[in-house]
This record gives sequence, structure tokens and C-alpha cells, in this order.
Amino acid sequence: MLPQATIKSPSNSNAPREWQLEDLIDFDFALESASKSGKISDHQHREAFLQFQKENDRNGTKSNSTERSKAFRYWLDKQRQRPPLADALPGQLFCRGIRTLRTLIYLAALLSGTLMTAALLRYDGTQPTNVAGFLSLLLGGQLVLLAATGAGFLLRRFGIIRWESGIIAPGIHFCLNRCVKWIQQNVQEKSSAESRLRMQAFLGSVTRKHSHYQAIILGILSTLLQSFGIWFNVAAVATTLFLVTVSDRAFGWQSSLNLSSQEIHHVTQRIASPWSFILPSIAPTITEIEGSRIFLKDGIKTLANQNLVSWWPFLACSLLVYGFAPRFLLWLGSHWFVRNRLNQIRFDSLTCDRLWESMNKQELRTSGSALGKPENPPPPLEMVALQEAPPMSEEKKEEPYALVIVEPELAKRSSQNKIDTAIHELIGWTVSRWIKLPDETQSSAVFWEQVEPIRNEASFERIVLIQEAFQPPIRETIAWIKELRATQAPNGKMMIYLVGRPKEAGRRQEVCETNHQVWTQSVDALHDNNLAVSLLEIIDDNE
Amino acid sequence: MTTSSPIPTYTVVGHPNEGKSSVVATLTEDDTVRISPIPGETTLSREYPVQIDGRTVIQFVDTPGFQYPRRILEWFREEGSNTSNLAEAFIASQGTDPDLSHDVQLLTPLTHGCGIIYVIDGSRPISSTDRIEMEILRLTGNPRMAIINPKEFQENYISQWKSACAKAFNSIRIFDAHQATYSERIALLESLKGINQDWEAALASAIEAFESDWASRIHQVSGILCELIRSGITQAESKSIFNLSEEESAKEKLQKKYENALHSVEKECHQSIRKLFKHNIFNIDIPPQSVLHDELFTERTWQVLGLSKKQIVSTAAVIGGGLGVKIDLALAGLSFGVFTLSGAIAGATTAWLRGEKLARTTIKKQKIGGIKITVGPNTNPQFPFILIDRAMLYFQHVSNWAHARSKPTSSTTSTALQLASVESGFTSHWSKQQRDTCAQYIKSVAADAPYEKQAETERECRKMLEEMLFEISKSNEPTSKAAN
Ligand SMILES: Nc1nc2c(ncn2[C@@H]2O[C@H](COP(=O)(O)OP(=O)(O)OP(=O)(O)O)[C@@H](O)[C@H]2O)c(=O)[nH]1
Ligand SMILES: [Mg+2]
Repeated sequence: MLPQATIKSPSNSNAPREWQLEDLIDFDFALESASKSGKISDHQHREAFLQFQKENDRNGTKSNSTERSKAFRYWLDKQRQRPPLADALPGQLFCRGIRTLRTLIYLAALLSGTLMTAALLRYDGTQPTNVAGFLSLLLGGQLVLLAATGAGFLLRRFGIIRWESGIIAPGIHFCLNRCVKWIQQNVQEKSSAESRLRMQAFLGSVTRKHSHYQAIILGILSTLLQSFGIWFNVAAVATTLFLVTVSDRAFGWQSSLNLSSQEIHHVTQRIASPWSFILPSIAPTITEIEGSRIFLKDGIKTLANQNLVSWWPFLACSLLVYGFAPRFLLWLGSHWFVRNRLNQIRFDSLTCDRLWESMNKQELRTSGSALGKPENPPPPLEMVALQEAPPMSEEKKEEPYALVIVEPELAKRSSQNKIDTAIHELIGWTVSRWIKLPDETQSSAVFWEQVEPIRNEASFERIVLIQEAFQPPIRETIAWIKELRATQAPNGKMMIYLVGRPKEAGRRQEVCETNHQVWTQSVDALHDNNLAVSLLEIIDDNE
Repeated sequence: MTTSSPIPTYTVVGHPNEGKSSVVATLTEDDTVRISPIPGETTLSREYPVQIDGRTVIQFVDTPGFQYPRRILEWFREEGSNTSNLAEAFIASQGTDPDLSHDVQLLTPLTHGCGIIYVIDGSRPISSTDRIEMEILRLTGNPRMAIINPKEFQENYISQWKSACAKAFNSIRIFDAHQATYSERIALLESLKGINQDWEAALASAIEAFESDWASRIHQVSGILCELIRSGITQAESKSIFNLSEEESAKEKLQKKYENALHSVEKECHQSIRKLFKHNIFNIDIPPQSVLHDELFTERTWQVLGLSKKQIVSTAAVIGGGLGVKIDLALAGLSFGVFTLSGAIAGATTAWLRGEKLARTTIKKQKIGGIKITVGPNTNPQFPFILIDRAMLYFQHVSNWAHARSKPTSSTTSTALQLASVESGFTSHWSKQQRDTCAQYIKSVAADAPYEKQAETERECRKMLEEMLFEISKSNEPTSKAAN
């Protein structure tokens, strides 16, 4: 443990820091490693929370002290100084990658904009730049993309497709699923149970994170794409201005159809309408249009110079208005979207709940926690901090009711009360309902009949399954868990608490490491953010 | 249900990770069966025939564990009245579902009407899933037997299991896949007779084949032991040197060479015993405090193993000049002297016999100049008995070592029980007659008696050794259990 006094937490500064993507990645990483190593109910979390409150008091920002997002942010800053995270900050790594990518994109945009414009503006005294070609090459593609973006937005806006879906994400999913299928068919049967389980758990945790990040990452990708557009247009305009200023260029139009100058004028007026209020002069006049029509057989000798150059302000303005401006707006929009999404994260996943619970729980324990060996006891200084602590904070607005599901044998052996208390201590849920799983004489439908009437109750949002760890997670059980999760509301949570095998005197043995691991991995394979496995110590009543 | 196969076939089924593969490994003496502490190791059903002289006498089928017991039972209950072969009907209607792959693998062998061996871990309480599985097996109608394989040494649930199994199974046995000995395996086969009358005769002949196979293994071990004695007591290394200043270092080198040679002779003997008992892949852990860990010539080996002082004196008398005369006069004198000297001196002599473990070094002047140094053979009458004791300890260990256990176990309880300490060897418990039979053989080999004489004494000795080996292997208490 680091000496706490020396830690200079960034949130000492008055302005509460906002969540960035890198924080989020680090946070998830830290949270995951805490829950994997069983340290989620560690007293260090409580300490961090108390310090957070103290600092808030000192800074006079009392009202905020109970907000999860801020407390977690503070916790994260503390975690960042601890070994697992301090050694490798995955968020920073990710963001450095994004920054590098961004630089590359800027360079590519500038380069391609410049080269393309320069190529289009080539003029050797015989062949002026074709205005229609210039516009369609530089703007046409962009406008098509813009239209696609707009359509996509509208489709999402009206809920025809989901925000998170796009072309890329389903594609990745499809490929991943294909891979998983292939692996299952070709590799699994031959590999050992251990490596098979590990593989499934790995695939599960890879695909799991997406729900959370997909929108944000898509937003960031969109920002990158828009900035490409911005810099491309900037380069195009700059190149045009530069070439027109320092060299002789000519523009003209041509058509095999019998188009009159009036018609062309009409079109250009239309195009120029966005800026015609301010700068009505930036559009070629009928005479200038007439004077820049090119018939290849006649050459351009007969055309007046002044008419041939008259097009460039119009072209530059078109690039700015139709190329640059929408990209810039979209860029702003994506930026806003990402920030908004980041600020909207509610940190109410199951693991967040568990962390929050361990932060808010007053430490009355004197010895080992429910998860086994006591951690190194806090030094006396921190004990003082514990006493100063204000009591339980908010989150009492609505009681977190929960439903407990148990095997019939287990229900026979242990008392409801003790289990309820243990659950409340561990995760802060208030058990309000019990369901016994059907025994061998009943059909599985019995369970669903019991569930049906309470599906809309608050308790159904938090399910606790008490499971004897020595029963391996057979496919039937896992499929049932999946089905149960599907009947819960989207943000419903489920905890699986493992108990050891019964011993004499009501005690249960400690869950053996292998069983714990097998269960964790099997559940990880479900790639479900709001489903977790942990250990529970209960004392049986009878026998 | 018809019994189509003339070869008794038993499908070993059960919950994942209960020890099905372990039971198959032990019953078929096959240490290549895949066993793992992670459930779901076995994914395909596989037949493990037991072949004796190329003839399959019985076969076991290892299967994956039940993955959808409830679904199978519910289907069985619904369709139960429509069909006689439920397993077959289930596979026909549901078999294409990839989720059911393990269950289909498990049920397939049952469609042919083979016997069922249901394996359960007797160290955990029974659950409704187990009752569902039992009901499924009952509904298949195949002859069936339950094996309670206590994975941990907690016997509290065995009676609970027994009463639960009584309703659904024709026979119940406790069979510890990690501790089962030869006789326990035979006993299991005997009880399989009871679950299916059709196979009674076939099983009886299978058991007979097992027994004669076992006898032939023991016969071979006795041969190996005699060979060990022969090599042990005739082993010698010699070297001529011409530069006398090298004498000391040459002696030392020869001594080492002699010890190494003996060591490899012994190791070869142990290897061939191990092969006989089909432990091919993995090393068998000798209990940590077993005297077998000590080298041949360490103090402890010679204190613990071999004959007692009294016994050695009388045995040395039998061997008589055999060992000694051939070698040199000093020893001959002693060997002859043993039975003539008075008690007190006899005590001193036996002390010497115990103390002088190593082979003597002799030096002879050569006619061509220089000297010839010879180390060995070891003339100590105790020495062959120590070799026998070590080999027999090894035999005891290997012959009772369940094949499921070849891999390191995760559980510490079972290793704790393996910690058997050996207080003494076997030879000191032999009768005088047995000792003398052995001594006769030693004498004939050491004295390089005529071939017929050697062959005769060897026959006698092997007969005696076989008896002793049988006793060791038949005893229901291997060292590990005796220690408890
Ligand atoms: N101590 C002890 N362990 C046992 C015994 N039998 C099996 N085991 C252990 O239990 C675990 C599972 O054994 P397996 O034989 O692979 O079980 P299985 O039923 O074939 O398992 P699956 O193939 O996964 O369905 C292994 O780690 C074995 O070492 C026993 O009698 N004693
Ligand atoms: Mg297996």
C-alpha cells in the first residue's frame, strides 16, 4: 500500500474533472481486476470514499459528495497510483493510439486535399479547369457521404435502427460469431476442458465490453472522420487561393447539350444562395458564364481572360459552404455526442453497485471479510478517518429489493434470514422474495410459473442465485441463467453466489479454487455486464 | 431390452467431473484416459476394451457428463409410453441440437442395451439433479449399477447416496477410483455379474482371464527378482593400472562405477515391474518418506530393510562359502567362521555384516606388471535381501497404484494418506524355510554352481517369491491404507 499522505490526488483541484474515454477504460480495467481478485469488498475502497468526502467538505462542495460518478472518479485517481493500474494504464495507451491516428488523419487529409486540388487546377494555356468536374470531384463524394450520414441519423432518430448499430459493429459481431462457431466446431472437441473454458471466457469478455463503449467509440471514429473532411476542405480552399494568387489559372464549362448560359446561371445562383445574402457578388454573372463556355474545336483563344478567371471565388465559396461547413458542424456534433455519452454513464452496472456498496458500508468488521482472509489491517491514522466518517450516504431513495433463487436442497438446509443478511452485507440488496427451484418431481415450467407474476416487481431487477459450487455449471444451468437474464429488464442485475459443500456443525467448506474459477469462466462466457459470480459464506441451520 | 453384444459392455455415466474417466482408467488399467479437475474434459464417448491375449473380454465406455438432465427427463416422461428404447427415440428426435452433443454422446451407447455404471462422488450431498439423472437411467431400462467414488475422504454422505440409489439401481458399490486395488477391481467385476444374468458366464470368464493374467504378471515379477539377485551379487568392476600413484583415484572411480552399475540394474528391474502393471506414461510418486527414496547403500536402507541380526547369521550359514570362497580368503574365513564362533563374537560379526555394506576392493599384482583393482562383487549376505526388499516394496506400490491416479492429484487429502512409512521390509518376516530357499539360490549363483543346480534353486526360489508377491498384491490393504 502506498503511503496515503504523499498521494496528490488530481481531484484536489476544485473543478471536478469530467470523465474521458481513457478514464472510463481505466475505470473498467481497475474495477474488473478488483472483482476478479475478489478485492471488491476491500476496505481500501471505503478509505478512498472517506477521503473523497473529507476533501469535498474542505472544498465546500458538499452537495456533490454523494454522486457516484464523482466518487468513482476519485476512486479511480487513487487506483491509478496502485500497482495493477499504475504499471499499465490501458486508457492512456488507447488514447495515445487515438491521438497518433488523429495526426495521421490530419496529414492524410491535408495531403490529399492539396494534391487533388492542384491536379484539378492544372492549366497549360490550352485547357481550362472544368468547373463541373472540379465541383463534382471535390464536393460530390462528400455530399454523398453527407447524405448517407443524414439518412443514418434520421433512421436512428426515429428508432428504425439502434444508435449503437452501424455497418461496422454488426460486421465485427458477425465475424466474431463466425470465429466462435468455427472454434467450437473444430478446436474445442480436441482441446482440454480447461483451455476450452478459458477460451470461452476470453471471447465472452472481449465481446462484452462493446455495449458500453460502442456508441462512444463510434462517436470518436466519427469525430476523426469529420476532422479528415475539415482538413481536406481547408487544404482544397487554401490550395485554390494560393494557386490563383501566384499563378495563371483558367476555368470554363462545357456541355454537349444545348444548354444556354441562362440555365447555367440559374444553377449557379441556386448554389450560391446560402451566401448570396451577404456576398451576392460571389457568383459568375451571365456574361461571365457566357464568356467561359468552351468549345473544344474553337480552343480558348477567343475567350476573354477576365471571364475565364471569374469562377474561382464561386468555387472557393462552394468548398467552404458545402464541404467545410457541414463537416465542421458534424465534428462539433460528434464531439458533443461523445461528451454527452460519457457524462450520461450512470455507473449502475452490477460491479459498480458492488463497489459502491463497499464504499458506503461502514466498517464494523473486526476480522476476515466474507471473502476469506483479512487484508492487511488499516494503520491507526486511517482508523481515525473511519470514526470521523459521516454515516451511510444517499441511495436510500428506493429500497433495492432483490429476489433470491435457491436449490431445494439448499433451502432445506439453511435459513432464509441468515442468507438475507449476508446478501445485504455484501451488496446492499434487500431480499424481498424467495423462489425455490423445482426439484426432480416438478417440471422446469414450475419455475417460470412462479416468475411470471413477479416479473414487473422491483425485486425482479436484482436476482441472487445461491449455488453450490461443487455442482459444475452444466449447459442446462447456463442456458437457464441466460433465459432468466433475458426476462429481466435490460438493466436488471444478477449475482451468483457460490457456497461450499456442507460440513458438520452447519458450516460449509470454503469453495475450492477450481470450482470458483470454473463458474467464473462459464459466466464470463455469457458476456453479460450485469451478471457476476462471487462467494458467499453461509451457516446451515439443520443437520 | 436385448443384449446384443456377446462381450460384456458397460457404459460409465454420471454428472460431469464425478470421476467417470477415473473409474474407467482404473478398471481398464489405462493411464492414457484423459482426466482433469475441470468438468467437461471428456467430450466424446470412447470404448476402452480390456484385452487379454488379444481377446476382448470386457469393455467399458467412457462418456461425457450429463449437460441437459432435466430436458432429457422431461422428454422421457412425455414420450415414455410411446417407445421402448427411450434413449434411441430421444437421439432420433433431439439429436441434431448441437447443445445436446454431450448428452447424445452419453446416450448413444445406451441404445445398444449395454450395462450402465453410474458414478457419483460420495463426498458431497445428493441434489435434485442427481435424482433426475438416476431417473433417466432407470427409464432407459438398461441393467445398471451405481458406483460411489468418494473423491474426498468424507464418508458422511455415503449412506444418503446408498438409500437414494437403492430405488434405481440393481447394485451399489463403493469403489474409490484412486485407491482401488487389484482385489477391489475383481470384486467390482464380480458384482457386475448380478446386474445382468445374460453376461454372467462371459463375466466369469473375464474374471478368470483377469486372474490368470495377474498370476502371469506375478510369475514374471518373480523372474525379474531372481535376475536382480543374480546381477546384484555378481556385479564387479575391475581395472588394471600401471602407474601406482594413481591407485587411490582409480579405486575411487571404480567404486563409483560399481555403484552406478548396481543402480542401473536395480532401476531396470523396477522399470520392468512398472511396465508389467501397465504404468507407462507417468511416474508414480513414491510416498515421500518411503525408504525407497534412499539410495541403496545409505544407513537407513540397511537399518530398515533386509534380515534381522539373528536371521542373517543363520542365513549366512546356509550361503556358507558360496559367497565367500570364491572371492578372497579374508572373507571366506569370516563366512566360515560365522557359525563356529561363540555368541559374543557372532554379535561382533553381525555388526560387521551390517556395517560393511559396500563391496570390498581387492588388489592383485599382475604378471605383466602393474596391478589389477577389482571392486565387488558384494559378498555381504545381507545385500541380496536388501535388493529383494526394495524391489518388493516397489512392486507393492505399483501393483496397487490405481491408473486414474497416475497424474498428480489436486486434492491434498489423498496425498496425505499416501504418506505411508515403511517400518521394515518383507524378507525379515519370511519363515526360516523361505529364507533358506532364497539363500540356496544365492549360494548357487555366487558359487557359480553347475547350470542344473542353479536352475533348480531358481525354480524353488521363484515359487517361494511368487507366493510372497501374491500375498502382497492380494492384501486388501496397500501401504497407504495400512498407515491409517
Ligand atoms: N481424490 C480423488 N479424486 C478423484 C477420484 N476420482 C476422480 N477424482 C478427481 O476428480 C476429477 C475429475 O475426474 P474425471 O475422471 O476427469 O471425471 P469425469 O467424470 O470423467 O469428468 P468429465 O469427463 O469432465 O465429465 C479429477 O481431478 C480426478 O483426479 C477419487 O477417487 N479420489
Ligand atoms: Mg471424463
